[in-house]
Amino acid sequence: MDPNRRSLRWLIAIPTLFLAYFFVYPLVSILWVSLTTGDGRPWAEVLQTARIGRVAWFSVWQATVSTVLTVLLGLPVAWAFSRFDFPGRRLLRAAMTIPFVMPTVVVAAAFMVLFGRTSPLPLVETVWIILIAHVFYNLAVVVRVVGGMWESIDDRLVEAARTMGANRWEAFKSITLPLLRPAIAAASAIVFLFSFTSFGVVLLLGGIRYSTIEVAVWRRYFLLDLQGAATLAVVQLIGVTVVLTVYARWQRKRQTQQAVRTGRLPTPTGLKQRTVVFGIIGLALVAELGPLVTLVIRSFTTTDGYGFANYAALTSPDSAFLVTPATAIGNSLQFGLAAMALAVLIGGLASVVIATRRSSTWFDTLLMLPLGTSAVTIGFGFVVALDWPIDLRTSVMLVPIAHALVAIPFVVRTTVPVLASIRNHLREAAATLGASPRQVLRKIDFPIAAKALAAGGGLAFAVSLGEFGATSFIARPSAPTLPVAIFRFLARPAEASFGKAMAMSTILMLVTAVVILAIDGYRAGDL
Amino acid sequence: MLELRDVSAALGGVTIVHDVNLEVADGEIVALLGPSGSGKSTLLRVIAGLVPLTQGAVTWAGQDLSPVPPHLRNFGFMFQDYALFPHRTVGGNVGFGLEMQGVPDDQIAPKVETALDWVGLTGMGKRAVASLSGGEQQRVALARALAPEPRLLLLDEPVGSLDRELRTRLIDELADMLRERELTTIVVTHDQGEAFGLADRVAVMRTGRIVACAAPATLWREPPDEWTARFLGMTNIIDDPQRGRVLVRPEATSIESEGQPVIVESVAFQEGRYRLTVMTPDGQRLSFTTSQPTTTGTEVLIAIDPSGIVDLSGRP
Repeated sequence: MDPNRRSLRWLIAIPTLFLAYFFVYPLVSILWVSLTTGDGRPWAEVLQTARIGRVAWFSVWQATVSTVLTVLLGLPVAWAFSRFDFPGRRLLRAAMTIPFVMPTVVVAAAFMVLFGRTSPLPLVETVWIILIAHVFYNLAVVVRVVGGMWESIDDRLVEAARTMGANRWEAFKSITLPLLRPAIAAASAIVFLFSFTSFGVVLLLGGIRYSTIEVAVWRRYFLLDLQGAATLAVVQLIGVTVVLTVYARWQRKRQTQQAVRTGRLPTPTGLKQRTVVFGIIGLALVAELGPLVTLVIRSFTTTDGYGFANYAALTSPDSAFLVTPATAIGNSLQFGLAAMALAVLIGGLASVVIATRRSSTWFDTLLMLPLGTSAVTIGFGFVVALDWPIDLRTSVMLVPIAHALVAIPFVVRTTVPVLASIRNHLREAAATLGASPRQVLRKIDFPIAAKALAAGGGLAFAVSLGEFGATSFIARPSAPTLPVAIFRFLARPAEASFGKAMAMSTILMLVTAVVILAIDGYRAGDL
Repeated sequence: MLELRDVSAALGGVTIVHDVNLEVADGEIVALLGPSGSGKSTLLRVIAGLVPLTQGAVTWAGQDLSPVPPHLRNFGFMFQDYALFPHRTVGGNVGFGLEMQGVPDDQIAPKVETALDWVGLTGMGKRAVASLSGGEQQRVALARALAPEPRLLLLDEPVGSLDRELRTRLIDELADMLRERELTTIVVTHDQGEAFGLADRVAVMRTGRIVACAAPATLWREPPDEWTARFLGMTNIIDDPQRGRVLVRPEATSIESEGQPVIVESVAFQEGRYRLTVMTPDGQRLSFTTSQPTTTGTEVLIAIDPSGIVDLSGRP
């Protein structure tokens, strides 16, 4: 017992030091920069120049509208997927969640095709495209979170209400809705958070008229207004903390909720019900997968019909860039592997610490904080802080470290439940069969947790491939990542650039989809 | 030979096992019988080395085991929930102990097959443990504990998680197998039928102490005190004017043409006989079976064979 405790103490040291230097220290630096008027401007002027009030108001306003729209549109879809069984239900529901895991640049690229200036519905640089993109992105959250709850509600509760004279709507209002409320609240909080901290979508699709706090941090930074950017980042942190605190409270309520369901879900019966159920599912699938399909088609569209010209062009040098797009793809893959290795190492160690402890501590909170902190803040913090004690800002490892930071919570979240679920009896059984404590770790804990760790690593790789917010601050011009390259090509008006952006977005989308599906396959294989 | 001297153990600062003394001879099967919370499972875990002693000593063939960690004791332990390794096949589970002993891979396979033969799971080594029924899992857990040929086998509620019918059958099989192989075994159970059916000796535990330890027949014939008698299912305990608290063995009571008059309180037909509960004139209840039909509320005369009366007073 005691030697185990002692080894835990140094296990905890590595993740703690990593997070202290690469996460806490940059945040403190941002706070410091925002409070010290380095260039001698009065405080009020800093706030005014950065237009903090306007930016914060727009962030809250668009996030609120996005959340309401997502929940309203998501509820029927959640209902269709969670109250009925039909062939291919799981597969279709998994397909529904693909947009959620797509990198923002991919979504932005797809929406530029659908709603670009030359399209029949030119919505780019209006607020509508921002709202539509947020609904598109987050619909899966409502379907998964609310649907998961809905599926577990016992039919007999509603049946009981019906026998007592409630009509369908009254039964829904008085039974189902109150039971779903914690799930709706939790989903709303997540959607709000994602919309509130939205960066790539707003930056690429919103034009210069619309700025969330994230986008404003980025713009102030590139206008060399460090203090304005830092102040905005602090406002952002406060906002995120408030949302996360509320979410944590709802989440606890959701867990205490008891829901029991026995037996199988019914298949939709009758023409009317089938039309409604499959109609909803069909519409949702078209809305969620259509843009991605359009993107793929557009990537094969050239000035003279369909072909691979856009892809072929990726290997040739481009006047505006130091490297070819193909090099950017290579960079992304290398960064992804490095970030994955780092995230698995640090997240794995942290998971062992968390799983072997009884109560949740400051350590758990510290580990989960990067999840709530926006990637832009992390990237900005890196450039502000990491010149001390040695200047890391030009290091090759900077991008993988930032990506690992964003990905560690994913590794921890997939690994801890598995480690914690290993009953101590298994370890004791191994011991009575002659396994030493080290053999127990190697033969029992590690093999059981390996799948989860691999899944977490896969997620880390996918996160790294698509990461744009932090990378846009720290990627060196000579070593752009795939999303950074896509962003630059999208920002240029030439048709050739647009074609290449489409080809790269398609590649990024497919690689991400393959990784995510492989992880899902892992999980399914577990059951 | 296993020997426990004045063994005490605590969990979370609370003493669960108090001053236990017990000897288990080679080839002997001892049952630790007690209600839940009596400390019997903890005592078993103490013997395995999974729970440290706070006092006393556990020795094997005279050697003190306190410095020996569980993985070096070579005691087979079977957990109530089986604790099968979910990431290994049936064969991978059964062969684990041999692997740990450093047995070469090519010799493990035949030994695993033999162990599976013993428990009636021939040829199932490739199966995933998740695909097994409760009874099959129980057998895999047993085979896994047996395969490394442990010098002592420790079974914690070996059939406790199974349904009644299966339990009876598996207990018989288990008893046969343990005796055939002359395995020194300690089995923990809360079911007296299991304990009596399996063990050479039964140690009854109550609140962390062994309150009685004897062969099943002896224990049944002469339970040492009222608590043990009641725990073993003997409820005919009355106050005798001369001797104080006594146990009246059910088979000692019979309806006779002359004797003590009692009123029949209830009659239940049970396995071909009638189970009567009667009330004596001084208000004490007795139960016994008879082949004679009677009706509730009638008066009958009973006689009690003095040799069927066990004195429970004067004992703790």
